[in-house]
Amino acid sequence: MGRASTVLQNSEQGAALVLAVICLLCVGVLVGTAALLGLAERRGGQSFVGIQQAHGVAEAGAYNALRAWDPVEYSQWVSGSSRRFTGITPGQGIPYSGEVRRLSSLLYLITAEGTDTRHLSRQRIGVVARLYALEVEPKAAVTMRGPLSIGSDAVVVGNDLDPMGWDCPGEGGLVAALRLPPKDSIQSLEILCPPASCVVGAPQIYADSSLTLDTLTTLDGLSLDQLRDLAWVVVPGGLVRPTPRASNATCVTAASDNWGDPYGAARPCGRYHPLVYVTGDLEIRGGTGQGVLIVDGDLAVSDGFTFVGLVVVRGAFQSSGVGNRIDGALIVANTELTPISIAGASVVQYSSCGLHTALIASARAGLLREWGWFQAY
Amino acid sequence: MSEPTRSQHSRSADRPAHRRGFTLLELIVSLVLAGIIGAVAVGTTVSCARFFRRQSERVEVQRNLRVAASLFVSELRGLNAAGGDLIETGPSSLVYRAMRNTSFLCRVPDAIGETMTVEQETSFGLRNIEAGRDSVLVMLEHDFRTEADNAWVSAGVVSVASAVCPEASPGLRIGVGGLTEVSLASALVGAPVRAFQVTDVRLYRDGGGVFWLGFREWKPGSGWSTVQPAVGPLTGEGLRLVYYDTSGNETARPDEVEMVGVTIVAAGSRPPGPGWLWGGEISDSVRILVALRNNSRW
Repeated sequence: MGRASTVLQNSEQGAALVLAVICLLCVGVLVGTAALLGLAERRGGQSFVGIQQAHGVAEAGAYNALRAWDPVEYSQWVSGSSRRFTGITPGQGIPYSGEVRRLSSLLYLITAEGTDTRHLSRQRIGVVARLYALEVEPKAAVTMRGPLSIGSDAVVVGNDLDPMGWDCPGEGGLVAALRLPPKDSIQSLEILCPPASCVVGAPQIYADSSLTLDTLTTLDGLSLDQLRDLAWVVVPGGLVRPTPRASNATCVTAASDNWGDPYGAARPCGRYHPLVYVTGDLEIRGGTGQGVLIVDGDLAVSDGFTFVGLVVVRGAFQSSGVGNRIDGALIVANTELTPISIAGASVVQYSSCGLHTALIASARAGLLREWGWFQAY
Repeated sequence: MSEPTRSQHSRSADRPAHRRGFTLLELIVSLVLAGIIGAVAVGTTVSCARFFRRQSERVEVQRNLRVAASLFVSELRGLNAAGGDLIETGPSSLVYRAMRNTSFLCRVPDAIGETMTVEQETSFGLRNIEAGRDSVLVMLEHDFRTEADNAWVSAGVVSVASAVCPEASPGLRIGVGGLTEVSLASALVGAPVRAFQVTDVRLYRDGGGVFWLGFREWKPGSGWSTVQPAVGPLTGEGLRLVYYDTSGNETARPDEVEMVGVTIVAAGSRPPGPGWLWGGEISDSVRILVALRNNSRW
């Protein structure tokens, strides 16, 4: 009896074990598969979040590159030039990288690639940046107010010409030689040279009642003080002889008296057109430069100073000596209505080419107004 | 092994009252116990299977939601409503210009031959530009001194061929139709060229009555293609589109849209079998807001 009972118990134990194992296996397989599905789902969700995060990082990279625009370097590039950049996002510190490339005289392409925090997803976007130059149309070689005297050897020409050695399609037309407020008790004009040959333009004199201190010290909606924030070079005033400076075939843009090389396009500083802001009275004796020169004081030039671009003076302007030349435009606000003298063998030649090249070179960059953003994949 | 002796065999056969076996009670008890254990085992297995099925459905539903959300985000954020990228806006459908490629001119366009050449090195997008399928938007720079007169013109792509850009870099020559010489003459080197195809995304019901997120595209020569299901199944109200202007108010004007609100409701795929076996229907939804990145900024 004892042996038979033992045999029966052994059989029962065996069946239960098999059944239990089968049940456990079934449940285990189902639970395991469900767990795997859950894991896959979790990874899918993380991947989705990662892609969106990487996209955000790439966008941050592109816009940071736009915010950290380096006009000094980028303006000197020829089309096709490029530079890589890297950075991290504020806060989470996720790295991004990208490239700025010049497409044309006005357009740049910024591409940026970002990853998520786990570096599992990558996204790349691109933005097209455009240079937004100050829209300044002086409509004359010299725009100013207050008493003006033009010396016997001076020339003011409104014929639109390219600066010597420059090759850009200018307007080729005629603008006024002088743009002045209408004559009154303050406004006076004395021309000592033969007027028909030394003050040339169409019209010769453009009497503009809209010229005020305010309009002459505001460029494209920006006051001269605001323009100081955009300046590449700030000079305290005093005596200066601007001279192009290069080292190892590279233009030394850190030198405050280097204002570019207007007659050496192929030389290192030939493409450097700085926005120079002078905080006080300035005397320039000789030298050369190009770009936009803003003087928050009086300006006196002599000894053959040559400049291509736009010159804006808040105070008075005097030129004397031989060989002074401005190709572009001269604006004199003359806050104190001091008598102004363009004397000596000085030339102020209107040049839309020189003017707009300087304005574009010193322009701010911004996103293209429309369709400037794209997914670069 | 020894066989049982005769005396042992006859002793056990002659005494049936003492033979080992189950009483009726034992049998009933054991059957009931076995039944309970079996029912528990089957119940556990069925609920595991149901759990597994529902989890699978949930995963599928959520995957569909993610795919649909990704599609809408990537399709809509590169649009410019003010520039005409939204063509027809409906509550469960949208016809728009889907951006497919961005390239840049590497040569001055041939205004007479109506061709333009783009550089391949700076070509970005989901795919290359295709003739007969895509149109292009080209930026014109009339007067470089001001941005105010910049404009974009669109034209159909009639041919695409290999070409060479300056400095021997590979390019693509794109033949376009419908652009005037004057327009092409104002497209300068470096100008962006954006290729797009007119696309319709909508809630679509197939022959079996299942709802899908469907896409179809417009081809200039042949019209609309048939709707292709992209994501599904969705519920009968599986796609809701709401359009917002710059103030955050709903707008019916396509050119005023600044942001698109997209609600997607996905349903699970019902397996064959009775409802009690698999449980109720599963659905889930997601709502996203997509800001249009390319709208005119001033």
